[in-house]
Amino acid sequence: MIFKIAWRNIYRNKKRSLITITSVFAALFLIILMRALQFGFYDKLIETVVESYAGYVEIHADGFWDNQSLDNSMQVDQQLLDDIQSVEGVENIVQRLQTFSLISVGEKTKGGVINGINLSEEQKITDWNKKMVSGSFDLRDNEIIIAKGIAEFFDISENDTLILYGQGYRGMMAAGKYPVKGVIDLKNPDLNKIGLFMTMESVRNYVSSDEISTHIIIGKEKYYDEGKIVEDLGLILSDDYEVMTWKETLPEIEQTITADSAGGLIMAFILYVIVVFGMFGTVLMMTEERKYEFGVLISIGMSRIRLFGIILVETIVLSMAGVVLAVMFTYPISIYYNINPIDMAILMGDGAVQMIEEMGFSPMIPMSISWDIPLSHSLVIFIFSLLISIYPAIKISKLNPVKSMKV
Amino acid sequence: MNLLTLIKISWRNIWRNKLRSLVVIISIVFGLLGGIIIIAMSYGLNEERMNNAVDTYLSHIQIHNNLFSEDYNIKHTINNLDVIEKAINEDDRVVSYSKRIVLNGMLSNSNGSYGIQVKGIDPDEEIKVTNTYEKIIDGEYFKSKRDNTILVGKKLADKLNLKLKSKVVITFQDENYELTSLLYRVEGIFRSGNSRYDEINVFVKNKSITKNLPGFNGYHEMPILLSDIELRGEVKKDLIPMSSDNIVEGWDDISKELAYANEMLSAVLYIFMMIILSGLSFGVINTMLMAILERRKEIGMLMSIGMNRYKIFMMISFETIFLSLIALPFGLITSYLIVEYYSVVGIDLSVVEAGLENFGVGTRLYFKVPNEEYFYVSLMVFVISIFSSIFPSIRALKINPVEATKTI
Repeated sequence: MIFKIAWRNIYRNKKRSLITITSVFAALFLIILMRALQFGFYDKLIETVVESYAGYVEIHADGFWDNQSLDNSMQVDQQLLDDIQSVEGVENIVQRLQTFSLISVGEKTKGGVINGINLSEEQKITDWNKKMVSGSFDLRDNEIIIAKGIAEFFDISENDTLILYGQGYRGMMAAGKYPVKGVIDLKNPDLNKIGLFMTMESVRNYVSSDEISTHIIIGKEKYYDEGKIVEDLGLILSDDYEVMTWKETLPEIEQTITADSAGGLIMAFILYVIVVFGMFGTVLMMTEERKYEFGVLISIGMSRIRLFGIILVETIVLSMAGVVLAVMFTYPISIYYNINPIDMAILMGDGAVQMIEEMGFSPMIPMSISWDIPLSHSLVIFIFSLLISIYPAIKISKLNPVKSMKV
Repeated sequence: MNLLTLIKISWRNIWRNKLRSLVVIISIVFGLLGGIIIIAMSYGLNEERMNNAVDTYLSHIQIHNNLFSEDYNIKHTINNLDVIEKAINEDDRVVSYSKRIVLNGMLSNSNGSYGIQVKGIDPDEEIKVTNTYEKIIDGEYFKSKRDNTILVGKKLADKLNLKLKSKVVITFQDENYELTSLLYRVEGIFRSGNSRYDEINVFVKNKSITKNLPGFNGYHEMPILLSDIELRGEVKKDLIPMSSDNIVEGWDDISKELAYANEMLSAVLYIFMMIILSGLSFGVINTMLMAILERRKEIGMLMSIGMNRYKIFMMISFETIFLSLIALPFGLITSYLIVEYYSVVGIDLSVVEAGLENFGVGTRLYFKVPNEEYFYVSLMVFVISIFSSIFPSIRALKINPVEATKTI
């Protein structure tokens, strides 16, 4: 019976029901949009940084990360690659051979990091081929691509030659002379000062070893949890390997996001206070309006507990409606702005935009379309609306039917 | 019935149903408070970041050789140093300055090697310009009598596992393009609050470099501290003509990202303010709509005794204006008190310390609100609440007096 009465109450006064639904809807709507924007920003940040150099997940020989020497490299066979590929969520795999080297042109010398890469595979993970300033990414053996900062330091460009020397595999001396194929802007001031790229074979040749690699970089399916991939990899790989996510290889990014999302949480909290109070105001005014009705019901003998039961059912139905509507409305908006990112450039001056672009970021911020956001916040708002319904409960328990009917 | 009576009625309506008025007032106060706190946090973060950077490494103005900023070659020392130094000594806008030798090189020990920037300083001069001496967390700031001691950042120390008295070797190209190595012992470890800075900067005494490079003299970097940071434009203008081979830069020229941080901040703030204000607006609209439902009978009665729709609309609008006018001072006073309190005490954010160090700020966040922001936020909140009352007022006009008075 409670359900029937509650349902009829909702239906009887459509205007009132509509206002209550709107208040829940508006609250959730704004919170979802704000969080989608914040998380979209983080996704973009991670994507830009992770995809520009490191992968979401990296595999090295055990001990390589702490002591990045070629002697801690590994030999990768097809069996290992197949095993990794079989893990769920893994989309692309690529090997790299990375080694520190001194670069010399004329009288100047500086340090750099050589990356031996597999051209065709690499393009599935990183977008280096799109970042060329001059020349082409189309490396042939014994050619080298240098980062912008190195080109500026030595004042060299395409077709100039530089000399690399350093330590090879197992104490061999490594040295070589390489013509510059092109200049790349890695969109990261630090990487631009040290980045060098050659084909895998050339680098192996340079360090005097035929089959070693230092990194296996894994590109994951979008929105697939990298923690899960690491866990699964741990099961199939022996102790000779170490598996790391970008959170370990790039701890700064992880920490920056943690710090920033602390700020984001405070903002979300402020918004919550405002919208929840808006919801409370609506319920409060509703209780005022229905005092007369409650008085009548109590005086004809309805128990107060039952009356509260009715209000509770009404609240649950109306909040549910608001929550469902909000999720239904925000999702298409999130998808739209995920495909057509919001352009922050119009809110900033040219200088700021230019600087952001120099750092490798773009002022376009997409919205996150992860389902976690609408679902978790729906739950919170729903719980809040139940808590708010305590107010009418108190009012009902204290209601004096005679007074309330004397308008 | 003239306008004055209408205002009087509205005023009395507010006090008649105190609960309803209170809800709207509190909504507006929350809106204002939320807006101001968000601004306070963002400005606080930004200001701290800037001050930190200026105090520890940027200073107000820096002079370099033009060529040095491009290639960091040891040969490119500041040109015409005597003249510049004389001018600065006579300039009373300048509070202090120091001269540094800057070397780009590698620091290595048995655990590995890192590319670093060595700043050769005169400790007595340097403490007047930068506050690194306050940031020593282990050891001393050049108290040792030996010349070959070095200060390293916490981050670098962690990476290379350096302790006090650890030996490190610095390798760099000297003025003859020969590789030179110098041996140092760690005397102190500093933590500036900016982990990127701590990773790549080390300090040694000037003497330790000059005595090992007999053929070298001069300085590469001259940081200057002024009596007021805003004077940097004028002083810069006076210093530039002294040598065309030098480059004179203010802190905002050196660290463009810091200078533009404000602009990026306000872009983000703008979006969040819009969201907060919409939240406020929805709250007010819904509460007022419910209030109008509750007052149907009252409004129907007023209509049937001859008050026209225009006047009803005006009455409800006046009520909202009064409610906002009552709410604004309350909101302003509370937010002012909260901001003042946290601008002194600060909020402890040590949970996310590592991330904040990346931003270049410490673990305490101090609120800061430029005075004009109080005005802008109040104005926005006021406009939004008036605007939000329009829709409920229009709903009120649609009430049918016959039906409204009929219901119980």
